[in-house]
Amino acid sequence: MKKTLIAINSLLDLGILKKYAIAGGMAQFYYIEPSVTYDLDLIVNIGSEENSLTPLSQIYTWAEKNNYLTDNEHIMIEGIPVQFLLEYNPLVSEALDNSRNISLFEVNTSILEPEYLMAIMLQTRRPADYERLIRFFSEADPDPVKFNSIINKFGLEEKYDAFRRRFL
Amino acid sequence: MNNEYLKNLSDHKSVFHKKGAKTPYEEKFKIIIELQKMSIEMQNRNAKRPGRDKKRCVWRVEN
Repeated sequence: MKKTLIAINSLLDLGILKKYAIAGGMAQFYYIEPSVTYDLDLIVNIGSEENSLTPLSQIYTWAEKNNYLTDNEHIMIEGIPVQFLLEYNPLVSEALDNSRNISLFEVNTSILEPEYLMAIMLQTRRPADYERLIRFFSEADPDPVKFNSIINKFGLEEKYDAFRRRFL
Repeated sequence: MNNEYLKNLSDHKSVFHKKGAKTPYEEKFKIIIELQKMSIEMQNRNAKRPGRDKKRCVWRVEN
């Protein structure tokens, strides 16, 4: 994963990405016990409205130049399938803005904070998200004030109430 | 089985998983690779089962 992170960071140096953060399962497993996952999701800000029909085209061009194979939405970067996801709604956008700078495998990187990951899981509502969200409450020590603030801001109160009644 | 025993069991499991959550990320990464190997092996043994995702693969990484 070290080489993968170094390659991803080069996209910042090249100005192809303005900002990115690790999201999805690989971000969740920073805070809870790991389970199986098969890709590395990144939330990215490309810092440009140009090419809005093909916003990730520069990343795919970069991948081709570096002989990283692509398979639909995934780019195989140093052995790991990486999916680049644009900030697809205001919650995800704010999560990226507030992402945490960390070091993994001695490489500087950025990762979504647990309270935002929890809110995104609540918003997405896949079965795997619910299963992991339950574990976040028991394993991750989230800040309840911060989590509730995010829930209220993005109108997720009803979903949270329904989740809490069913699972907590 | 008494309720106190079950509560103790549940509490100890909770502590166990909380401790697992604090495992360094680099160690968790190794665990994920091992889980991928096991999952792929199980998939291959159940090749006729519907819903098998052929895109899933074990990451080929050095660390």
